[in-house]
Amino acid sequence: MIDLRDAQAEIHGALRHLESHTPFAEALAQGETGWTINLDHTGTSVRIDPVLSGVAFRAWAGDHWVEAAAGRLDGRSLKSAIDGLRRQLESSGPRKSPPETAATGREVAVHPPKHPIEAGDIETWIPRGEEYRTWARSVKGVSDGRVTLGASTDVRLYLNSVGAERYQVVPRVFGGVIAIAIENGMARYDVVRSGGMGGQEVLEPITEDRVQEAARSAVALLRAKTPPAGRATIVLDPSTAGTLAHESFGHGAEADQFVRHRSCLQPILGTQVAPDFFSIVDDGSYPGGWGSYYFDDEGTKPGPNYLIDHGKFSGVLHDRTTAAELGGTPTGNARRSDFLSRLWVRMTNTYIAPGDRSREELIQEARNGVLLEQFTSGVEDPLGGLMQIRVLKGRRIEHGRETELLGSMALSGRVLDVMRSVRGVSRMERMEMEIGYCGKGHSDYIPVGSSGAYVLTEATVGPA
Amino acid sequence: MNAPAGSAFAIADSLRIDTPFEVFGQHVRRFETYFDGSRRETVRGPIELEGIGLRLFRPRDGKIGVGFQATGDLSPKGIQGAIAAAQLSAKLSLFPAARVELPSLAPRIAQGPEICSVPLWDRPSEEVDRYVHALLSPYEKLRDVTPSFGSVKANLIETWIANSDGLRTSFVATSAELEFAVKASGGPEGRAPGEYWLTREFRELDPAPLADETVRWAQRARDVRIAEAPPSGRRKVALPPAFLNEVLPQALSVRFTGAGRLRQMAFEAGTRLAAEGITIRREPRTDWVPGSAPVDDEGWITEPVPIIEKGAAAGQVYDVLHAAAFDRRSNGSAGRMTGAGRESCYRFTFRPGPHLGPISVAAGTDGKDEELIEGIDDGVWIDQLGWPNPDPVGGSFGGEIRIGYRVKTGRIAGPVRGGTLGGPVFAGPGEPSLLANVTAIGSRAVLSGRLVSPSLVTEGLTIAGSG
Repeated sequence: MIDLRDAQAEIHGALRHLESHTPFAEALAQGETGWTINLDHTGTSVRIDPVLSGVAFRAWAGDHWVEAAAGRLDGRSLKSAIDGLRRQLESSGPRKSPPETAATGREVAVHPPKHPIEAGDIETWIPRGEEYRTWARSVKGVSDGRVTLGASTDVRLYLNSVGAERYQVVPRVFGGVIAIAIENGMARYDVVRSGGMGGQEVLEPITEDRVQEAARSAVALLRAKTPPAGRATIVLDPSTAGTLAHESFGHGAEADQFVRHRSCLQPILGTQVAPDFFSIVDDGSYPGGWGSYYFDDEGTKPGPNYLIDHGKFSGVLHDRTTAAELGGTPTGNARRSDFLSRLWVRMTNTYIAPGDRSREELIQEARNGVLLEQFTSGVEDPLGGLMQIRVLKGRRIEHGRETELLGSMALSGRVLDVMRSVRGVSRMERMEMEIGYCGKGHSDYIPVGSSGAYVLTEATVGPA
Repeated sequence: MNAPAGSAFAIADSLRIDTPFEVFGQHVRRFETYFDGSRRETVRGPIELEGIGLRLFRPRDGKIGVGFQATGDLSPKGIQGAIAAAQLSAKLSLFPAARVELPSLAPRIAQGPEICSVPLWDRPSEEVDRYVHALLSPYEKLRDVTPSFGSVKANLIETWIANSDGLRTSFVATSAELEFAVKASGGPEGRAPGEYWLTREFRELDPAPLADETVRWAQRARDVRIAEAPPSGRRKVALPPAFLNEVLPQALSVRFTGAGRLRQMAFEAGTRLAAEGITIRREPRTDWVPGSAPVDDEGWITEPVPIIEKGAAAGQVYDVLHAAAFDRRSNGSAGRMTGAGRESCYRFTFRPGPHLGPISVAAGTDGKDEELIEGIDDGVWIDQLGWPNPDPVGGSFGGEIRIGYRVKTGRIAGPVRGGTLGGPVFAGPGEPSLLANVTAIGSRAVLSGRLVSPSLVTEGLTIAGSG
């Protein structure tokens, strides 16, 4: 495993070279090790993660941040990055103080998985993947089962010019089985996936029953009906509800959108936006979450942040810059994809808190509508207040009962209308954090979790 | 412009491996400027990364164990570590081909399309600053439309490819990315601000087109403010190249490749998938097109590859491995895809696979965009979805309409927004789809991102309006 602390003195030295040029500078060294196994009927492919570690430097240039990064931790590479940064600082404008609340002090966090992954585990995981494939292929009509299993360890060391030091080791494991059915040129699939911070225990939700259910679903989707087009009463499954949380009040509550005056939610902070049984939470400390970590990339600890608390829009997500500009407190949501990427205010694990209804009650209450299942993607529109979610499949709801299977579809809606239309949220005995990657705009993808319970509301749906 | 002799060549010369191998090296420098309105928010650069991807092929039981390892540690110890890791992954991986044919013919300095902007290469920070200035300054004259946010990023990339068959080839390239949003507000009507948000990909940062673009983007933002909900149902939709660039390259990216064929998802040659007038090709040698290159990511000289000819499936793109699986030669279509997580310029970190890359849709004979609109009695001109999210396996796409225009009796009737547009891009014979139900093909193909295409009109898609 990479130990970035070997380079700590060298990085500290590089920061010291910036002292006469800036009132504040910081460094995030980052490296990752791991591997991914892919299996399908064409063969087995094992990929060991690139050996890459490097450092991003950031310095305050009076009224904006400047950054440079080096892809190696040797003295020559660090000097090249620091020289670039100094040139930028020399050409910057008048000096204002840097945003307040820089991290201080020293902390170390190394996640202890219940069942750790060892370097020699790759070979033992191939039979596990083959077993998953066998489960999928045991269902009649399935053409293939494609299995992906992976483990990684993300190591980060944060240092700044006021003495902060944060070292963390975050192991993540993920697995997915895609069952594919092909007939007359038409290909349909369904998927089981699981991922999170931890060790082998993360894969426990991938069971034979679930894989075979996905395989049967893939075959059934070859005969699925075209979804209706237009405004409808809808019930979202927990994975889709999690995406709703992420795209609706997640992106719009990232405070950099407030600073940029491009969140339609900004004027309604503190007001009631949904029924009082409805809450959305972002929590970077969620146990085992795919988007969990111990410190953000400014050295702040994450924690549960209620974006909607019992229907009231109650909080936003901050880094130190937005907190200073808007009079808030850093919430532990400053994240970089890696040492090559810039820092943004980002979500972590975002979810709709479970309610007190049953799934069946919500279906009955929907009366006539559509059940949307198995999210594939979502996109926000913070200023315009729209959002889209795409799902793999669904069910028509007629007279309070689930009827025919529907193919892939997209949901569109005005965020505030969808929230105000919420009529119920189901109970969840055990919430499973879905795995996803979120981009800021069209780049800087990071691991995020999302989850929720069944949600009854209204929106526009159509084939997709 | 010539790449200096790279470390990948020296590494390949020094390797003592008893199996076929390939070394793909890159040195990437990146410069970025982010802005909030007209205010600089963050300036980054240089972001510098150098590394190699080492791949080796170890025959085993009539198949090939393929090992791969990327590393940024180019010290002798780092290279030895990469060889050991690649040997391990070769031991554990197995691909269904008996032997591979690696390229050996490309010249030391590969010749091909223009893909390197000399000004950007020589003065990256200044060129980014100049472009940002040209991008933002026109809005100083507009009262109702202002820059919302954005970024301009420039990449300077040196690439070296070497292999055990003696190939030593190299080239340099520049690329740039624009993300930009403009915001319309003000006026007496009291409506909420409207934002038009776009992304573009280039090989050079040319500010010349910005004068016209500024006018168009500003109008889109104004239209967002007054747009109505679209109608529901299956109607004719007109799709301009910028929209098609978001859909076609990704939708065709699996089932029209050797990987799709190996997974029994490819269509038999001659299968009718599209309207008679539709011809689509991989076009990797067009000047200034992102993704164009003199050689592919394995060092094969690139060439055009027919995908769909006159509406019928015509072929697939192949890399070395997938070509070997079908006992044929690569058609120069290997690409190193980065997937979610790392920026696409750091290609050495990924192993190659068959990759569609830049594609062209042949121009038709149905005239300019205005003439296409005249031919629509009741439909919608779609400018942009939130994200079409094409599904390369299922073949469908769909998303929320961020801005489009209602077309009635051959005229633009007003902007529409909200609701969804979606359906199959391609489908089996006889099934409706975007490509199968094309009713008109514009006469002028233009470059948008990695696609050169005319506008298309189709009636194979469904709009879900909120009415």
